Amino acid sequence: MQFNQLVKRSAFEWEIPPTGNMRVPAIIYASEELIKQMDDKVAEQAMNVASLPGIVGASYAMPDAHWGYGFPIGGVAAFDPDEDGVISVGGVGFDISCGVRTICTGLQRQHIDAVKRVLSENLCISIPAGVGSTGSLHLTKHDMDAMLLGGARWALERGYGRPEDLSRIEEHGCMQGAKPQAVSIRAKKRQLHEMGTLGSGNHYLEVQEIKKIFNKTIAAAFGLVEGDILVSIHCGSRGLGHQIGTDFLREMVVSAAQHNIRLPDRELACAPIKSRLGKDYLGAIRAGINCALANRQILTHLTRNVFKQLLPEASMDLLYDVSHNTCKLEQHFIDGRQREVYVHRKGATRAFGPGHADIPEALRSVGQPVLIGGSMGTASYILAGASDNEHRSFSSACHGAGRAMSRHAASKRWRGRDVVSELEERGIIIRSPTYRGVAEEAPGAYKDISIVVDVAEQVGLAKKVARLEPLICIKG
Amino acid sequence: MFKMSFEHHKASTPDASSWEHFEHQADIGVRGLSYTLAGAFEQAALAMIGGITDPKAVVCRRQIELSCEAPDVELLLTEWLNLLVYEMAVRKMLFGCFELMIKDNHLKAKIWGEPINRRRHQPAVEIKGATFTELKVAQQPDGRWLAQCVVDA
Repeated sequence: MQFNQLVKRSAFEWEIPPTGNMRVPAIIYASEELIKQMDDKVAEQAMNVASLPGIVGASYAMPDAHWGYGFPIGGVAAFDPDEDGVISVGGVGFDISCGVRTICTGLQRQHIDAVKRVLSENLCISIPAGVGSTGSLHLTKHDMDAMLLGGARWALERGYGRPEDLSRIEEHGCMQGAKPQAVSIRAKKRQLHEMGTLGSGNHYLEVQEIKKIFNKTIAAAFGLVEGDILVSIHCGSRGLGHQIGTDFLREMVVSAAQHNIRLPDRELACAPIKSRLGKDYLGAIRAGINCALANRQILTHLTRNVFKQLLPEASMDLLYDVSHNTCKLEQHFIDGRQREVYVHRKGATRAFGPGHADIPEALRSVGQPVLIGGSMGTASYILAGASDNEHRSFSSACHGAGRAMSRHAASKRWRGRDVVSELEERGIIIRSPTYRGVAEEAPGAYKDISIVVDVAEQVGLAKKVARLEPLICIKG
Repeated sequence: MFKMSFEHHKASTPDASSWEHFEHQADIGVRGLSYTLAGAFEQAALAMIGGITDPKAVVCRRQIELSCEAPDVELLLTEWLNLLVYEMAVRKMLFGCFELMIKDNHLKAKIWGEPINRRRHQPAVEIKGATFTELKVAQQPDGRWLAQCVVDA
């Protein structure tokens, strides 16, 4: 990205003042090094978002921002419904409620080393992953609507998980206000056989070791100890969410003129929050969020079963489940007053600071866990929402490393077999049905996640708590 | 199925039509080129399949007929690719041969493919949807039609 359009506000904060149709400034949180790596499209997209009706505060880009669709990936923006604010498909993305859930096993490295290979094989067999995979659960029409209303609670009622899981999931496992009737027949059909599946691409299930604790107080509250083993699951709302995105993107593009909305980019397709279309999309997103929560709940159950067979002493307590592709109604202090706004986070993680009422009581004093996924050969991080991040980003932080090169370029540079062998030599077992997929997800295809989380901490979005490194990775 | 008298566009020679991927940092840019609009759409579909597997590895043994429409030709491209994404998802199939007719922003297609064979196809990634990013359908100075967009993978 060129520096000439940016005004440096601090070492890690860059502003693009309003010009043209921009209603608010665009603010990018990044180091000089990250700015150099960012595509110019990030600035262009953040500026486009700043021009949408009803936007408040600023259009933000997180340290891992990269070129997305409509919004940059790593984009955050809030809209006031009382000021003709909009809700945008481009602000949520195709994979509604894609997110990360982390489970504390209560085990240490030596427990895993004793069974590592067979554990990887059993996880590979038990976790449906990759293109064309189906789950063992097949939904009826009635089940589908119940799942879309109930989320992880629905899964729990069917025996997937433990009651105490719910308090460790955003929205207590069930997003209120879902409208299954706003979800198309096509979207529901895509999901009939995909419950409890991981997906493909950058989605994964990893067995990880805590290699470093940065903040002992917060780590203690989270129950994290150096050397402990965790399991993290990264996936979303599967085919249902993808189809909701497709359906509403088309409808909002076609109807934008009727709502007197001039779209700077068709991918920013949006509708007034108070319009019929806006309300339907919100209801569909909330159904998609429940689908993702149910999906991760089922995958948790399958994972626990595998551990129970091999390592019955594993506790497998849920640390937290948080999404990074959502639009949610939240209260924030903006322009001197408390306002209810719809916060879009596209490839950005909600990161409520200490004391927020929506954080589980046991964790409330230290802040919400922010789960940051890495690539399969590098680190992942657990952060905690910083106490004064509301005015910086509507309490949001980064979500991952972000790609440094395209899938096409990665598959030209690496061979999947070589990537698997090299990682095996480093003690990381990769299980995937596709070598080409592994090549496209090679660790070198991603940016250095450590720089991203360092900036997130230095700018005051979230605090670093723990660094995790993979031992086993199940890829789709 | 093909009751309307559409002009049937088909690529005339192998080198007149082609597909390629173009750079997009997060996902896959798909581009089809052909001397006909329908041919460019066929090639764009091959490019999208090429993001998943080698299209030549897909055995075209089962035929399906599809149709869609849109307010303009660019939206028709995303509609067409999204229809394929949907059919691949619900049928658990991959497609490798396409025959299209396009008239007045209406598209009818015969497509051929087979069930996904993970060992043989080695599918790299599932496509979530076709986007409006870098969306363009236009005739080029050399007379060929270009049909392109980024697909979310």
